[in-house]
Amino acid sequence: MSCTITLAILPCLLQVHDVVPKDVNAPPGDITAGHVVLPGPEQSATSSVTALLPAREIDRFVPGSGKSAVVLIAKDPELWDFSIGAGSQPLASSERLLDLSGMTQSASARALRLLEPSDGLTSMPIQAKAPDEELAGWLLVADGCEDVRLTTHFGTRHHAPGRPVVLHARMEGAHSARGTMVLGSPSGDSFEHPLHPDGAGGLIGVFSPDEAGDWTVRSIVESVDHRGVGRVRTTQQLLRSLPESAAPSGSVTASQQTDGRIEFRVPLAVLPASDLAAPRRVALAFEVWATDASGRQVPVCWVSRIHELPAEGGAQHASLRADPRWFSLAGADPKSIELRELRIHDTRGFVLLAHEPRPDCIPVGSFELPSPPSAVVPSMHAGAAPERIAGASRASSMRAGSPDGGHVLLLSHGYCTDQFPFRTNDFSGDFVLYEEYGQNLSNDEFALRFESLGRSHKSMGIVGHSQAGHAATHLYTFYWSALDWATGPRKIQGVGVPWLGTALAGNAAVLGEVFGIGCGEVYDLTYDGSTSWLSFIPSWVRQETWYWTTSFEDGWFYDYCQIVTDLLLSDPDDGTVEQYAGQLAGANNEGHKTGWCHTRLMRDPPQCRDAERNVLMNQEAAR
Amino acid sequence: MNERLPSRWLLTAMLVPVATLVADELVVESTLVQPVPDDSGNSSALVEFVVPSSGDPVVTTGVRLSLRLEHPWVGDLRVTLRPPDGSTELVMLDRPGLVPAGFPGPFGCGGDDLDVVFDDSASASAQDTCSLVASPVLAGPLRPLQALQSLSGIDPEGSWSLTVTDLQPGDSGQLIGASLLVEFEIDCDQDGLPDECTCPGDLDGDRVVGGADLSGLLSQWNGTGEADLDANGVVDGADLAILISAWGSCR
Repeated sequence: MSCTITLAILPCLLQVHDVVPKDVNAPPGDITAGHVVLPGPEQSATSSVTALLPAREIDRFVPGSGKSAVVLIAKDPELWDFSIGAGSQPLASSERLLDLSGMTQSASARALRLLEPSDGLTSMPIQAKAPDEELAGWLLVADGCEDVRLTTHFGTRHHAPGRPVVLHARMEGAHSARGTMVLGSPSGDSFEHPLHPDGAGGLIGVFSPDEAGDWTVRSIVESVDHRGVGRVRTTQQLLRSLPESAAPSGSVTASQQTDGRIEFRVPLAVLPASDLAAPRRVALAFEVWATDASGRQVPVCWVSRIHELPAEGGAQHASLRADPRWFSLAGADPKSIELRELRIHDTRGFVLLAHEPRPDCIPVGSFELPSPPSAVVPSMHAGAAPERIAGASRASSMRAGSPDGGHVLLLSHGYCTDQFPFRTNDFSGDFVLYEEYGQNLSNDEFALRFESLGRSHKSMGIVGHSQAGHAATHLYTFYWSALDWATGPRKIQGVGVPWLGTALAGNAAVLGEVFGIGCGEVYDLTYDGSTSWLSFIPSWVRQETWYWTTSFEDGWFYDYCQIVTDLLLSDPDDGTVEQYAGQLAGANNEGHKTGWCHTRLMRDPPQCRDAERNVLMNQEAAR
Repeated sequence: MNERLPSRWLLTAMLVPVATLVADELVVESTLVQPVPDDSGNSSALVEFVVPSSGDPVVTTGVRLSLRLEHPWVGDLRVTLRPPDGSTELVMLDRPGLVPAGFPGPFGCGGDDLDVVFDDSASASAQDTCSLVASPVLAGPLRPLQALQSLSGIDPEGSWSLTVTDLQPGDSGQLIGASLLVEFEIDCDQDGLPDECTCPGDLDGDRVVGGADLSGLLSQWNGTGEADLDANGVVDGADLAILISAWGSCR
């Protein structure tokens, strides 16, 4: 068998105007199963059993019986006077120096971990003195009392500048005494607001982001546990506030096209682009309901499509289309169409821009339905493939852009990496590598990289690490590409994919404000961003996706992949992705394997070096 | 008058093509299976359709081409048809679905197989038809890239060449069968346009005025019938003169 490796060299400026969006349709079962329903913001809450604070703000802690450690995060932490325990006789601890280049630009970490469990009552001092008082340092403190947990979430997913944001905080296992939220604006300013009792045992705070961009939100809650011991917990979240660049501006009309499909025209009021350099794309979606023969309102299908906003703004409309066979299958009358849950999300992080629970929909003209198929057929999922794209000229004499143009497997790294994760020796046949080190892309931008790469090949399956799993499913959902032509058992395979997000995205943003962020903020990988994005991924895409999770080998002491990230994540985790957050409902879960971590420089070997899995993925991959 | 219009030959390619004249149709059938080599350059699957001489001057008035192919990526394929006069090679299909970007993409339509009748009157174009799920991806009557109507007016007799070429590496296939349907009409004056032939004296309709026709005339001498070539009510010397003057093959 021949083996071809092609290294992808991508243009700096990706031309995306000639991609072809799919008319995404999902069956009504996806609505009832919740696959395409935007969960409430409490469903993507951030929780924490640790505290991350500037070193000057914490000088002691009360360790308990669980994992107790103090981590100093600073530039050159080895130069700091750093210890825990009583002055001249520091407590026995294990010390490690850790690379944090994936999270910050200039900081490293120095971790001190207690070797023995403590009684949970004795206060222990922390010494953290900088060689220069001007130097910043932060402490991540895990007191080992893991039943005391802070959970925070925003009150809405709608975060436009000027629109108030409510923050909810709740402490489990302790009584909240007081809380504060510290906001970091996109331009670097910092604001502090108190949290107030919400009357139901939690705390609540309100702020109004007056600036578009990424805000960091630190929630700091002091509490008293059931033994009367003070406990501090913090969460670090990222909030993306974007202008409401597109909003529904009137009634949606529904009419039947000559090809039989039902077209929904959504009138939009579009703001002019403030940044002309980047194309603005939004994802629209809504549920289609109608009345069946018995007079009941029944879900017919779910419809979605990517729409590019014109830079000049103004009155526009977006067209979305549904296959008429959904109506036939549901036994529903298109004249009784009712739309629900119309949503518009910016594709940069899938931030919610507009939401109408019951938009007006006016059926226009007559409708003629085909005979109902015996079952859902694939052509109902994404409409008919377009015969031609607008503006594309035929080039009959054109040869392929690559030397072979064959059927390939694309191997891809994830967000912000400096080495290719997969061991290519484990793969055979034709495969190509996506390599763009140090990148920070939204899922949409990442997917379009794949689309562009796919143009050099007839067909393409994808094996992706981490965020590349998001990108592959995003591509298959929203755009026609070489991935659609791939044949074989598995179109998409993902390893260590944070389908539900990772707490590290928020923490990296907070630390990045102090130390410079490694590759930039990646809102798509926050719990909020991932959850919003995932509500656009229908079951037929999930069914074509196979995934694996891993975590550390749970030894008596080294029960982590990376001690810093371990303190920010819920066990078990692979150092970046918690096992629970690596699950994709409706997809093919290939299992969880211990003894493997997310990347190199962690306790156990990197998960993408697992030859057994790699060989299997290579064997099963569609190409 | 000899009425033989319109006429039709149906020829189907065979391993050893055999022409059979059945009434107005000439049928050649084949079970030929030929490989369509991958990215073959000059090596193509080639089918020769031999249209034998009918003895009459004829002109092509319509052509349809049926083709069955197994191939996992029809976007690789170029299909051409060259008529016997060698003048014009018509392109039936040229890497269908090929667009520089978007869908189906720079490698054309990735669907499987082809069972198509190239027919100018079809509503859909073979070049623009593509589906992720249909198999064969090109099926039924489809318009060719270049209209077969342009073959109207040529003499159909001789060898027609069907060529199937794979122009892109990665996939190969095989030609399962093909057939060519030619509609023709008599063109007595050989001006490339159908016309009606007159052949006075050809009483038996074999396009030759000969002894059998003379016998027929003599058997009706002084009587009436089709041998009354000048239509004066009696078969006589004037009719004999007309027959003798037309002696030989009709033109």
